[in-house]
Amino acid sequence: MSKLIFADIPMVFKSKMLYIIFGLSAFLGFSIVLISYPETETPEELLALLYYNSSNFINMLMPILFGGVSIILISKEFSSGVIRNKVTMGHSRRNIILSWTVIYSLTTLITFILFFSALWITAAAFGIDTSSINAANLITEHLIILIYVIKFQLFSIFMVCIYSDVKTTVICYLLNNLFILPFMIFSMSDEYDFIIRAGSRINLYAWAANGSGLFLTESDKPWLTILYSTGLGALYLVFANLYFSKKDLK
Amino acid sequence: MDYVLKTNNLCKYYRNFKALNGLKMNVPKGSIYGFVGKNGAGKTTLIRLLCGLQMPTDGDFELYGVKNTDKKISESRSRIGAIVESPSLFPEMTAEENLKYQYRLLGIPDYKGIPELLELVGLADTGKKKAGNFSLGMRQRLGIAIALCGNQDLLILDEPINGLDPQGIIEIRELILKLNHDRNITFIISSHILDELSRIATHYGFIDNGRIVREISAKELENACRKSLSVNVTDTSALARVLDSMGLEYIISDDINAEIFGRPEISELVFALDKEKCRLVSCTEREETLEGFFISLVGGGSNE
Repeated sequence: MSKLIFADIPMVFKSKMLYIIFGLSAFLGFSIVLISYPETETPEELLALLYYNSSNFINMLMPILFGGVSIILISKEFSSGVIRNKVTMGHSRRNIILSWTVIYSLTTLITFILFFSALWITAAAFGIDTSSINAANLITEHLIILIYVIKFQLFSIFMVCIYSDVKTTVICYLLNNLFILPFMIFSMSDEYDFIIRAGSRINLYAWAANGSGLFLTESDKPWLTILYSTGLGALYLVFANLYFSKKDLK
Repeated sequence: MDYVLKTNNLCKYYRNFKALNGLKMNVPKGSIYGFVGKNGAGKTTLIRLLCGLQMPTDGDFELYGVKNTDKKISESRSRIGAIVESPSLFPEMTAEENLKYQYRLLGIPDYKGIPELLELVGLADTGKKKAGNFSLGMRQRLGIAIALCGNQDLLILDEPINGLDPQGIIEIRELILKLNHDRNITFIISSHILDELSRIATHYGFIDNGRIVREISAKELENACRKSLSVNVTDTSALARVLDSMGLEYIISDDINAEIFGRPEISELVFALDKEKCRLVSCTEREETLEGFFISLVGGGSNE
């Protein structure tokens, strides 16, 4: 597997697409502070709104920010036939999947770091008082988001093993939003409070309705979100391996 | 004889379609094995199975004595290079970058062998030109260079001359012969262009409907296809005596039929047979072409 990783890392990090995504994520981190800053009066409100907007943006743009690079570069291996070389020379399909997992988890981590670095640097530049932030809570929230986006990355790898095509980006986007949709629908009624709670534990947040409209609810049990994300991520990896090991390559 | 590859009743079914149906073939080490068949006969399917791109439905094969179901098959596979349908390369990379990538996949720590490899396939002066801008012949040659990375000793080429111009065909042919002669690399080449294959192959496997209908060496094929005189006489033992005295090569088919190779003087032959009290009933000149031989194997009569 190390040969696969050392072969692909220079190739991935030479990709212009990767640096576009890096730039986009840093820009988004900066933009979120710009959007959030005028709407708040206190640092606490601003921090809550930063988290809300970050989660919102991440969920909306995940297929592009975190899935786009892996989907495009892996589908290129299929379309160019390079995947055939890897299999022909004796690399096992399981190792190929694992190497993709390592490499694109690394790109996800870098994207994540750039996004939040830009966000917090911009917040500091705007003079936002961050001294009241509980560091442990902040680290937990960041960890939840990181594991969540890596879970999505594994989902992208699973999907691209099936479709082997750039259109996988669209499929991932649709499936991701379709998954959130039922929770949004059920949040319209007070009777489904348990669904809203479940949704907040599976996703980054859940929608809940009050008298004036929908608002975001964070997970009341962050450790459950971490557990679900980790479990789902592992499950996607297993499915990807099972599917890819049987797939007839052309 | 040492065999690089042996297949044993290899089958591949796609729903109701049998792409391979009990295929048995043996590829001798150091040979150039020409794998001949019509479109849809199963050539590419077999190559995909050998390269591990698809799994057989039934049957198995041995690569360097290791069964495909054995965990050690990956070690055997590390000795092969292949071009399946089209060269597998990154179009946005140069020739050198593609080869460097291949070297990294193989775990070869330095790139010392790359300039020699590029020189060998005639791509040494491509410089910064991206592989996507290469001609088809150049892409095929780069594909062969990629397949050769790591000093492989078995190369599997799926229709390597498809789409090439005459110059490109000559270059690929000469490259294959050079590699086989200088490095003793075994080749399995699938093609439906018989004439081109006949210039390089040392062994043939004729495939039809997913089965090998005949395996034959180049020498045996040459004997089967050369010019001959088919004669019908009253006594083939008398004929044999006459032909021996004339120093001609022949094959006796049965009591009254024989095949004479070379160009005997007919009047001389008749005169000599008459002395032996043997009559020449009929004679027909035959020249089996490679295409005719192929058609006779896979169905349909000769056009002669």
